[in-house]
Formats: sequence, C-alpha cells, structure tokens
Amino acid sequence: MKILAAVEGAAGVLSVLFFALLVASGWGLMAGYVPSAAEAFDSLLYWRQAGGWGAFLRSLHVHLASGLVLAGFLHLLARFLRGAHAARPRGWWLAASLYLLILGLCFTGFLLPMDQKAYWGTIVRLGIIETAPLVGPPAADLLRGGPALNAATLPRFYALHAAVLPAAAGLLLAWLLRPVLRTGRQRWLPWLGFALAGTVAAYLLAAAVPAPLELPADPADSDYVARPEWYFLWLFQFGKYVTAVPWVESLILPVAGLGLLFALPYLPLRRRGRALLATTWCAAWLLLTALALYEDRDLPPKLDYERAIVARAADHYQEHCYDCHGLNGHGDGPQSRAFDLEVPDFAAAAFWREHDRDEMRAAIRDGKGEDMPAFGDKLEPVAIDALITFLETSFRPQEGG
Amino acid sequence: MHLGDRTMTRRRFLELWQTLLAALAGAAALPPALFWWRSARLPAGPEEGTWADLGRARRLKEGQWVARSFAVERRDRWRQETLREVVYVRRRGEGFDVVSSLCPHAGCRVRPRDDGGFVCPCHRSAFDGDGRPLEGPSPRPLDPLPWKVEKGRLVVRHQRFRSGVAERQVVEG
Ligand code: FES
Repeated sequence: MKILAAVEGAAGVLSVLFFALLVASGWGLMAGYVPSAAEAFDSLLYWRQAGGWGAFLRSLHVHLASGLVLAGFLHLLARFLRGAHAARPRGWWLAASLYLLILGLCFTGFLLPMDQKAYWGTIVRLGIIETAPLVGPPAADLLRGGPALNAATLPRFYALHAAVLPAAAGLLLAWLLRPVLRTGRQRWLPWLGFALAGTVAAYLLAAAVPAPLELPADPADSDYVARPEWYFLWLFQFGKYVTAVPWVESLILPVAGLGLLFALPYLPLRRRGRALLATTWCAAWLLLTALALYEDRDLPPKLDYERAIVARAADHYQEHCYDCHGLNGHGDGPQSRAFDLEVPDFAAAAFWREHDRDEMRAAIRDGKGEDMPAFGDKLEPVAIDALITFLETSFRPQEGG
Repeated sequence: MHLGDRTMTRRRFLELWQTLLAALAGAAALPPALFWWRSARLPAGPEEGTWADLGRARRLKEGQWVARSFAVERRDRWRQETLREVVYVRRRGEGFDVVSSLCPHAGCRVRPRDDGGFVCPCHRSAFDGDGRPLEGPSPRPLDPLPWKVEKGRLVVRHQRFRSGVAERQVVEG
C-alpha cells in the first residue's frame, strides 16, 4: 500500500513535470517550425542538421511525450490499485480525461514533422477512424478539414496540438491539482528533489538520443509500411484478429474501454478484483505488443534521414552507376569492360585529391566528357549529394592508414 | 428584511454575471467552431477532374498488372502543387483495367503478388487478380479508375476514395 501510494505520487509528480517541460519545449519549437506541408519537414531538418538547441528541444519534446504516456499510465494504475479512484471519483474522472487529452496531443503532434512516418501513420489512423460506422467519416473529415488530406490538414493538427488541446489539458490539470495545492498535505521537499532529478534525466536523454526524423513524406511512395507508436501497437495487433468486423477495433473497443474507464469508481471491486483486472490488462498489453513486434521482425528498419538518404544512394548507384563504375568503384563495370571506356577509379586516393565535391556534383548533374551521361533530370540535388557521400564512404581509401 | 433583500439582489447580480459570462464564452467559441465545421465540408479536389497520361496504350502487357506513376498539377485549397500518384494497369484485349493502389481499408499502398493478386502490408488485406477482397479488413474491392484512350495513349482520371467504408465514395478528383 505504501509502495502504491509512492508510485502514485512519483508518477503524478513526473507527469506534471513532463507536461510543464513539454509546454516549455513546445513554445521553443514553435519559434522554428512552419506548419505548412511544403515547409514543415524542411524547417525541422534545418534545426536537426544545425545541431544545438533546436535539435535538443525537439528530442526533448519527443522523448518527454513518450515519458508522459508512461508516467500518466503508471499514475492511473497506482490510483486504481489503491482504490483511490472509488474514494474520490471526481479526481479519477479528471485524471482519466487528462490522460485522454494527452493521447490526443500525441495523435496530433505525430503528423507535425511531415516525414514518412508522420504522413503514412496519420493516413492509416484517419482511415481506421473512418471504419467506425456513421461517426467515423465525419470525425475524420473534421480532423482533416475535408474528405481527403489537403493543405488545411497540417494547420488544423497544429492548432489542436499547440493551442486547443494544451489549453484544455492545462485547465484540467489546474482543476485536478487544486485540492492538492490547497490542503498542502503533501510534504513538498522530497518531491521537489525528485522532480529535479527527473528534469536532469530528461535533459541528458534528449542530449544523448536525438529524436528520429525519417525521409520527407512521399505520398507516391509504395514501399513504406506504416506502423503505430509503441503505445498503440497493442491496438494494431488486436485489429489483426477482428478483420471481419474492422469497427470492433475502431468503435466497439474504444467505446467499451472508455465506458469501463469512467465507470470504474462504481464497480464493486475489492483489492483482489482490482489487482486481477489490472494484471489482466497489463498482461494483455504486453502480450499484444510483443506479438506485434515479433510479427514485424522482418520489416526493414525505419531509417533516419541521414542514413535513409545514403541507403537510397546505394540503390541509385546500383541503378545508374554500377554498369560503368563497377561493384567496387574501380570503373570496371560490365559496360566499361565491354566498350573499354575511360572510367575513373573511386578507390584510388589520387581521385579524391584531384576532384572536389563541387566538381563531382557538376559531373553527375550535367555529365562529363564522352561517356558520363547527365543525371540532373533523374536525381534531385539532395540525391546527388547523397550519392557523393555514398561514394566517399564506400570507396575512398583511408588516408595515411 | 432589508438585509435579506440586499443578499437577494446580490445573488441575482452574481447570477446575472454568470449568465453573461457564459454567453460571452459561447459567443467567443461559436465563430471558430463554425469555421472548423464549415471548412471541413469544402470539397478536396477540382470538380472537373484531372486526367493523367500513362503512355502508349499498346505498350502495356496483356493480362498482367504493372505499376504506373504519374504527376498532375492541381490546386489544393490555396496551394498549387504537383501531385504524384501510382496506379496499377492491365491490358485486356482492346480494353484496360486500372485500379487505385490505395487500400480501401485505411489507405496504405497495396502491392502486387506473384499470383496476380494484391496484398496490403498494413493489415494484410489480400485481393485477387480482379481486385476482389480475399481476406483481411478491406471493406470493398480495389477501386477502379475511369480511363480512356486518346490518340493511342492511355489516359486515366485521378481519383481517391473514402477508405474504411463499404460503399465507394469519391473524395478527390
Ligand atoms: S490499410 Fe490495407 S489492410 Fe489496412
């Protein structure tokens, strides 16, 4: 019991702290982010590559969001196990509503980077919402700002994520904290130390682990496989078992789940009953999540921008360069051997001394000499740059080594 | 009595303030709410539809699905953009089959299978060679697209459909 109370308190303090830090880092991010389909990704990529506080703030924001989902859940769980939900139903309802708002913030924030994950993930989420009979399509239209994804979608998500939902969550939080602050029953000092430690840990994590950012959204891509965030994998996996009636996942389960969540204070549950219910839920969650991860073990990993662009460069090399430049860049591909072409050796140190990046860029873009064709209309400038990076990392010999 | 009267007046006064405040909040919330609601009802694409050139009709293989991508210029609300799209095409004698590559379940892109059918990597909806659903959550067959042959070239209409519903409903183009 003591332990549960401590968990409830600690997770509660952490949740409030994370929420505050999320608001603060969000205000910071707003100064460098443009909520427009044309510029959203570029603005985030700019700060990511510039390094420094912009990159740090985004990492912090992303990790804190995961932390809040977890801490909020632990707080609710401990509250329930202690029976505090039945003793103070109003507090329970407030806390549960707040948690739902937080999930809403995750949902809307997910689209903002406009990378592949954001775009395809949101398409699928909205699609799942639409499978709910009657209410689904209008709800999805309201979120999207139209019957299909359009120029107004991102601004709407941004408005919800940065203004409407945080304001609502802030109000609920103030309401929830009122009795705590008024009675002053809590001894604050140890919690304050705890919160400070949490902040430091979050800062360290954000500095050490950059938030992921994939390739920019490509609506014409036909290879990307969308997957939900870790906290919704269980629902994704559950959906696989009810394929005949997809709206069990999108309507029945959410409504039943919400109903149960808000009705909990009225259920005559003793300690054993509560423990049983909580254990079942956690076990089901873990099992479904593990199954989802297991079944996806063969999916290609989701690469960050920098690595994805190099991986794509490798494909481009295969497609456009291999025939002449050869497998190891020696210039001994099938074509050049057959026709005895004059092809440079990328694996020679001399090549890299004699040619700089600008020269190579121009050669790939506009062609060079008799035999090197121009690729300017096949490869975008970013792709050409990536290709050069690929050549350099794969073929250039280590100097002095 | 005098005192009581005064309390009454004061309570009334407070009630009046509360009503006023609520009215004010409502008045503040109504226009934005109406904007959100009304602007979601705007159509997403141009009414006349956009047609895209898929190349010489004769070049397509008989009886085999191939992926074709195209790009069309269009106006999306305030934004002029190049929309890129992928469709599957198959020649059948003089005619063609063209289907959208977007899964009717939730909008991922389906892929062709070796057996001539399609499969969706998101929730494993599978379709036969004619786009009919075999298993998985897809509520309807793959969506056929209108096409015509103009001067020997195959032209298709860009369209998107609402996902997740059994009845086919055009939402774009
Ligand atoms: S999106 Fe294709 S099966 Fe779900």
